[in-house]
Amino acid sequence: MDVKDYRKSYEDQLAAAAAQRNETAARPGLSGAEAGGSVIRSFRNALRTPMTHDEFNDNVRQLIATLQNSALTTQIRLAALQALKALAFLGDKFAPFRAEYLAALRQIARPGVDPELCEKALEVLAAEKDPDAQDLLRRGLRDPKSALVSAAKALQFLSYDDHSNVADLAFSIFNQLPDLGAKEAALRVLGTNPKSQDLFANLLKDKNQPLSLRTLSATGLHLLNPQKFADIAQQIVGDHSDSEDIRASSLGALANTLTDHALQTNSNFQNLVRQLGADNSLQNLSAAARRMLPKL
Amino acid sequence: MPVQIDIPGADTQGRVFLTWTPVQATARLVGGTAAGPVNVTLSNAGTVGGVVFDAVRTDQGASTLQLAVPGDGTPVKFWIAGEFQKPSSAYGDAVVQATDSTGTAVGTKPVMVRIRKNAQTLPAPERDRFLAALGTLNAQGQGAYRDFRDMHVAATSAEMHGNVGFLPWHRTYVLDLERALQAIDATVAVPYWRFDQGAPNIFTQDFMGEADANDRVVFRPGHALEHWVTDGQLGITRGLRFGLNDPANINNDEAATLALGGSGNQYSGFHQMEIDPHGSAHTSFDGPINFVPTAVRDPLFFMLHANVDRLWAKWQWAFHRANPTDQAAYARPSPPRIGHNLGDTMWPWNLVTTPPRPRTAPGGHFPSTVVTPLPGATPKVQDLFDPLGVIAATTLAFAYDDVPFELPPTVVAGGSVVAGDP
Repeated sequence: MDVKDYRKSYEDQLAAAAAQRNETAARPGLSGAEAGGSVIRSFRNALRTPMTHDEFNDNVRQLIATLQNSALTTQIRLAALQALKALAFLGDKFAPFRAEYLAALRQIARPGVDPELCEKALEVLAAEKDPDAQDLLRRGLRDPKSALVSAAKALQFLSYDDHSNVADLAFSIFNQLPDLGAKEAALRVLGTNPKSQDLFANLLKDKNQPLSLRTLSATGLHLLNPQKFADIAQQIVGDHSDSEDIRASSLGALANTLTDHALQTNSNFQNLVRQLGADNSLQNLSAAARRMLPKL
Repeated sequence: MPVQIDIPGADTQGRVFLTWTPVQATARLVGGTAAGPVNVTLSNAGTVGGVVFDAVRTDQGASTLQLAVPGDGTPVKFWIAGEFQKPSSAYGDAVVQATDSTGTAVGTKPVMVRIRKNAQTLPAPERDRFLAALGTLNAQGQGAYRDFRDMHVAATSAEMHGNVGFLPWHRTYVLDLERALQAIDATVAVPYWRFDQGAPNIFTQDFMGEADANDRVVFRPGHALEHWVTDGQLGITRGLRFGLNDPANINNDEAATLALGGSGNQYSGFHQMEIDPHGSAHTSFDGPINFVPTAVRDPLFFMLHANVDRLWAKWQWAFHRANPTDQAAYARPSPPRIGHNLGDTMWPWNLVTTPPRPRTAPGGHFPSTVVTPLPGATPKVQDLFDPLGVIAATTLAFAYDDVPFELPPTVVAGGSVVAGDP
């Protein structure tokens, strides 16, 4: 296409969009008549033009007030929270409001508050490494009756802090809770704990375990002991009695790194990978093999 | 008599990667002993990618070019560019062909028109090459992705957020990652996620994964990102909080974003896009991508930011704002902050670790490439303004599928600058 024609066409699109924008309000979904809705609508309209310093500050203050106003609906308060999270990306510019924002969140992260709002507030606080929020999450994991969020979410939120030391809790959750989601979340935070090596190895080898636990164990074992993982993974890939999915998953993990010299010189394994790559009846396994072939 | 076509910037395997920007190339007779010039026609013999030609540097390249190639083997110069909206899918699917007056092919040169594309419509083979390179870069938490992860944390946020340098810094960051991916597979370009449109093909088990009930991202077994690890955490957490066929929870679509600069199309207004759509796109999810210190745990970050960068590139093209000396093309840092002025070098690529810069500089200098000398080992803010080389004639060697190479009104074909407003 001629670049001048393309420009003309694009400028026409921009002009049409501008005309339409002048006739319609900002993103719909909230009623202006609903209490607090006007703050959200006002903020969304403000996003359409450059805000002055004072306008920015006014908007942030009103959004924080909306977030902490328990008389408003959850929908309005969630919209305020999403807006504040977007503003928090501004770092230093948002910093003057940070303490007030976190204080508002702490008021929400407590029993009796709408569970969705409470969970979102806890997530933000955990991402800020707020010690009170981390304590609340830990307490919930030890005493599920007092938990504000599920065990899976609590572990996820605690993992925002690299130094939150949740390994012991994660082992306990994994061993005690029957919930698969909680077990998955527990494994996900054990990747840097040397004690979990045997757990990962045993789960990966156990054909009776759910695929998700075996897959996470493959990742974890590779992280902690790449050689041990490579040994087990080779056996799994070559085991026609095992599920195609875990064979594909194990091969995929090997393909991402392939720094294992034993593999690069193992002609039997290389031949197996070539055979698998050519076998179109094995969809995922064949695709993983084809991804590995250029590296052999 | 065979004709040899040489295009600068070939890699060690002799491969040439083009964007929409014209580059000067040559054609010459091999073992030339002809009495006079030989007339040849250059054209594209490729199947997918397109190339265009001209005798001067222009944005009006044609599908063919007649050349009189000296009989003594002296090279003759011409200009070649990727044909806008005809990007390659794979290496060699664009082919420069020289034919003689009888229509016989006397020379060919396979190339690739390597362009950043919309992830939603990205062909599966390109998607899978991108994912494979990304998986290799991560290498289950042991690869160079760690450096990218360490660049974008709470302690480094002021280098890149809340000020005018937000867009140049993130352009550099995405380009740094793209070059790391291209070191693994040179045919890869970072695709962009258009967050103002539905993306049912992106949030799938074959591409960026589907969230389960706990927002754990699930991939097809064997997928290159299935064993993703950052910060010792296994896998990716990301919960979609918008419909798969809907835009993310943003307020400004592309047209509204481009209008943020106001009637004067000023950068001082345009860069408010950092809040929306940028910030709103990040917070359209649950999970680490919501927050500055953890956002890069999710590789979707780079597709999101490729789109943020595309919007800047589109704004620059639409309003001729690629010249950093144009006062409307940038703004003074507010508040004043080193790293955000046009002439400032950017952390971490400058390796400066004295206050107010962060205490470490992960990743080292900016990586070089044979394709272009830009933006250099220690890029300055001003080095990132002209990705297609419309002002400086040297490119950053990346382009978007919907942002063309167009010479500004002050530059005429051939490259001369004429008087007038920028």
